[in-house]
Amino acid sequence: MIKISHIRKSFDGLEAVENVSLTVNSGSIYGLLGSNGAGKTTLLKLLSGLYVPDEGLISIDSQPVYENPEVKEKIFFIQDTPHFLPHYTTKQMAQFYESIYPRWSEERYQELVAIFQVDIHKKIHRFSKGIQRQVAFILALSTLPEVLILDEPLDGLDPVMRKKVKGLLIDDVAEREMTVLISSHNLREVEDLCDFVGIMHKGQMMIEKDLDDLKSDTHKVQIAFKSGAPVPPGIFDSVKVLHKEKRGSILLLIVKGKEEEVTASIEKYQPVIFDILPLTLEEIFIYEMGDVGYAVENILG
Amino acid sequence: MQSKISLVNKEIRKTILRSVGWVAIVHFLGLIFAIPLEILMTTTGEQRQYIRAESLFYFHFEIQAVLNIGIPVILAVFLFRFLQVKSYSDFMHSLPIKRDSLFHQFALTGIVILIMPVLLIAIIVSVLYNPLNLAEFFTWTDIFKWIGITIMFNLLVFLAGVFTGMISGISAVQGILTYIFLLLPMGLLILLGYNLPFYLYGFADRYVLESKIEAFSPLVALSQVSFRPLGAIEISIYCALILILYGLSLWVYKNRKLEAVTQSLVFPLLKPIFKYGMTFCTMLLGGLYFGIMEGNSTWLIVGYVLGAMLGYFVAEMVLQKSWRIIIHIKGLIIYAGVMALLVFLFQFDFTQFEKKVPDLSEIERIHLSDNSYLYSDNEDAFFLSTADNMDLIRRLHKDIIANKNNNALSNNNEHAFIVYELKNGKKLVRDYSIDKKKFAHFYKLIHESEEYKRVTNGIFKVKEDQIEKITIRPYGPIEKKAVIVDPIDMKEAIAVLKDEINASTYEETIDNRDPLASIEIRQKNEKTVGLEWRISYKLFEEWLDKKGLLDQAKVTAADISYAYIVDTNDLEINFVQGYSYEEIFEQMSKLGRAIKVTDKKRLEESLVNTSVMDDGPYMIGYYYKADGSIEIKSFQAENIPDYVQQYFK
Repeated sequence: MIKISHIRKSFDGLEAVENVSLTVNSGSIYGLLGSNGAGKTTLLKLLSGLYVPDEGLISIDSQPVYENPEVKEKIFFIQDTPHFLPHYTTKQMAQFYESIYPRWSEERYQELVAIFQVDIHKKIHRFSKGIQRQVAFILALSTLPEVLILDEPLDGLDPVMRKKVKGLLIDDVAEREMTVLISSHNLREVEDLCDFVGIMHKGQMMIEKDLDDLKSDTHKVQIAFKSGAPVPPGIFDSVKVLHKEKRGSILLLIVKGKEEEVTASIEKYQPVIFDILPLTLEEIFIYEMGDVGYAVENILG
Repeated sequence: MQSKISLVNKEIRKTILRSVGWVAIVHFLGLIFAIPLEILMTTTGEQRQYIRAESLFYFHFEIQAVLNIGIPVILAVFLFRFLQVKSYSDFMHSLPIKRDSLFHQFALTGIVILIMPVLLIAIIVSVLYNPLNLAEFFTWTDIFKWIGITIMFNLLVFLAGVFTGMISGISAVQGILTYIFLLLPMGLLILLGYNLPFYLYGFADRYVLESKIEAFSPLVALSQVSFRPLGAIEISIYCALILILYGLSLWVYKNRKLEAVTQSLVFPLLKPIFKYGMTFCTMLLGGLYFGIMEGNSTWLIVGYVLGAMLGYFVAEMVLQKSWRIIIHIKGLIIYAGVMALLVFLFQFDFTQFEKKVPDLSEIERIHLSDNSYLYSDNEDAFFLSTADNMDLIRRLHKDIIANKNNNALSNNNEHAFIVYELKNGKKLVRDYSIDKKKFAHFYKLIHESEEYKRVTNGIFKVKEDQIEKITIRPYGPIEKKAVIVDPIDMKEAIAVLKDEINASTYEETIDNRDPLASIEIRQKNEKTVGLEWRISYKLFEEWLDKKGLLDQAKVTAADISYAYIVDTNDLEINFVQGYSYEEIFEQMSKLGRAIKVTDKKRLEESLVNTSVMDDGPYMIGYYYKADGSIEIKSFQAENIPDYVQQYFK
């Protein structure tokens, strides 16, 4: 379990991360969203034990990360542009990691090499960016990390590779209870992967949500009553309305609650038209966050 | 779970070798070329007889010095590249390895890489030692000394490079800063040494700069190691520095923040130190260049202002990593204010440096001379320790201080150099440029004292039973000499000379007329003592005459055919390009206004009244009988014979 509480980090007087708290349970995938400069990378580097926080505590399985090899053996951090030792081949990098990460699995490594079909005898820096990223995944997953920290990992991968990588991540989470923390500036990129998402803006955590709950609990409802009939006021009391809008005779509501309950309480008023529709994650966030939502709309696009 | 990372991880060592192994190869090849190859080439051929090797440093020392200065820094820069590249730094530090362990692995492997080539070369030289009979040039001890000194300097420069790597976040800055760091102590001493006399009246700049300041910079010390051997203290300080730098680097590294990668200086605290330190140094340098070269205080101030501004801007550029900088003029103004205050405080002698004259009771002994060389470069520097003399020197010192402004005004080239050696083991050293004539009353009393004569004249140390012979060589282009070998005569001669010295007055000792001859007293087991036969030593002349040695002991009128005396202004002498005696004599012979002297008496009179200095109002050219040699001398104003005065009136 990752626990971050009241973290603060500033660079040259500029606050990069301001009082952020975060908990990620073992075996879950946490998506850290935010536009450029929101503080995502800083937060990930704090978590990986690269930076020392100015204030606050960071722990993985109740142990501090900074300068603690015992914890760092269990985590793996892939930078936004993966780094490899100069002029190393994949094979040499594998040997290097094998000597450093005690949980390294040669079997897993061979398996992953076969999946990605990478030439392990070629110098990594000669590969394209996308393949370098694949090599980084191969190496990272071969160390069998308990916690995998990924900074913008899907950038530069083609859709087929993206799918492959996501599949591998989900497999490891399911099989080994691996915990994944993944940063992205694009919600759509990770919405099918994450259990939780947090949105950062200007160094602060604006919102944290369990995606399954969100998706099943928020609905778009369209209703219309007999021409001219007023909208019964009681309808707004029986359900939790996040947003309402009138388009001609049609009333559009964004409501929160279990689908059956919502349906039951609206049908009481016998509308002539009644539709209950799922929302895209993007829409949920915009409605959920109200005014702030519009400000960060482009993050989610 | 047991951590897999022990102190030495094979893969990390491999990484290090892959990235900096080439440095060791370059080092090795450079040394091969400089030493074993050179030995092979020179000792096997005819050149062998010309080898003057006393140590291994003899062979291509320039190359050795360049390697010693260059290789360790290159190694430090490339070895700790992972600290200066952002993604590399993040990569290395996300590994489950503690910083201590990372540092030890890199630094120690670096040290091995640095030392290996040196040891290999030593082995190669050892293999060649017997077959090539190298014992003729150096001993086994020399080989070990070479290993020790080379490794010591390599380690010191390397660890200085490592240390600057820890405080800097840019490889180029790391390299440059290393050299600044290694030169700074000596550079600062030189700069302060030249600048302080302006503020501290009596500061012995030449003494300070002549003493072993090379040792303050390992770089300078190592580039001189072939001719200036290292002292035990130097070696122990360098070794201590190696250990200190290692520990300090580790400590700094553990406290280094990774986000500061790519910044010139990683620790914010260092930025002002660097900025104002640089401003201060370039200010002193500006003062040195403009002020001391031009020699007046207006240029000195101009030099300070320009130097400080230059240094401040360059430091800002380095820190902001751009030449198009935002100038924080406020810092410069504050700096200028502080400096102005400092100069103001110096005016009031707030350190009490200028006024300080030790109490008689504190003083063990005193050295007083015209030149610091007589003290610092001299094993038997002389000292005065009688209460009378010490008190006189103190009074002279106080008088010089009291006349500070007068002394500063006149352009003097005479110095009063005073070293008080105190009873508590400390020293007080002062150097003043003065006009000695103004303080002649003190000098007369001191120089005429029995003690001063005894300690400054080697003849008083001569052991009479050790004397081998006494040789008297006349000054002048003439091949004659008087030699005394009879023990009784020698004893007498020494006694007469001692009397002459004891009787001579201060004025006689500073007489600028040339002495008649040089006297060399050779001793069997002791040092040869030399002294001059001054014009004033009449008793000695009589004694020589009595012994029939006078004609051989000095140039006499009989040695000279004739001489010309001319007014110096009538001659065209090219002082800059140089001139020969023959040319001048030629000119003299052609001048209408010249006295041709052939009269023996007048020649004798000239001989005892001239000096080789060419700045007197009248000049004389002697034509020697024996081989037609020519000698040009001049009459100083106070020693002009009457007939010369008359003629040129």
